[in-house]
Amino acid sequence: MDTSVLELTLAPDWNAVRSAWDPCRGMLERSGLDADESYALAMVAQELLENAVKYGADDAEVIGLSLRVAEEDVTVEVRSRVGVDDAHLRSFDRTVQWIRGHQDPFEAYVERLKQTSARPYVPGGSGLGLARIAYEGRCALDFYVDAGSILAVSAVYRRGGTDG
Amino acid sequence: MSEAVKQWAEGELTLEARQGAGELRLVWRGRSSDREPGRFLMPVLSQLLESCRRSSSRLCLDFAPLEYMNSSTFTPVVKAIDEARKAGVPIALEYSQAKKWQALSFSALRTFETADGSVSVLGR
Repeated sequence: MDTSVLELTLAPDWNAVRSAWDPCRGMLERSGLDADESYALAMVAQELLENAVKYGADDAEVIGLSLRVAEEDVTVEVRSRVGVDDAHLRSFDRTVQWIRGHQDPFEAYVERLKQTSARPYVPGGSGLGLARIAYEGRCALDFYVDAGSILAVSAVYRRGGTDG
Repeated sequence: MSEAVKQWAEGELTLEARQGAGELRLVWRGRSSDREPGRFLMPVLSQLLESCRRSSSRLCLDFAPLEYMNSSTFTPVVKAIDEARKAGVPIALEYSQAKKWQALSFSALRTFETADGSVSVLGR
């Protein structure tokens, strides 16, 4: 099977995030993924894009999204510019490492739900989206920051597997 | 027999409250994908919890028709469970087992179920 690729360049705003749903899901279904897989991976793209809009640099001009469907796996990658001294990046790193520390992403997701319940209501910053990507999307999370302060976050779904 | 008592809409999400015998049912439809969904949802859920407390009714949040909710939407839902527990209002979350995303997401919420049934999460 050939690798299918979808590349989108989006404005860093909420309407652009929403507009990415249909092209993502359509591409995934056309690439042979079933309806549940396509839905889950479109959700993964939405969660990563939402994070990029919420926590990217204030003067970021674009967000890049790529979907790569290969025979063995599917990679969702979102690229956005981060600030120079970015507390979010450190928090993001801790959350990704914390999720990786759980053998079963379900446990990480449930733990995040409990933490959300226990603290006063505040919008955002719960890390629930990343845990959801690992659990519901069955994806392994990774990221790097390049010399141009571009944060690239990837979520890799292993096709036909039972773990991320 | 239940009748629609109130409707709310925000973006692509609509909420419809129906009063039944001993139960106030809030049916969720469409997509919940706002940046801060709690700004819309928290006042609605607080209002319904207060109504249930006064009428000694159960609050049922019916997500089965819902097409999508982002992770930010789970925060006000989880807080509603917490508030219901504190107010002594029985609360049930219903979801569609036929929708895989709902089966996964809402089965995780079963962690908040209580042995006395005052908090329940039900797939149908």
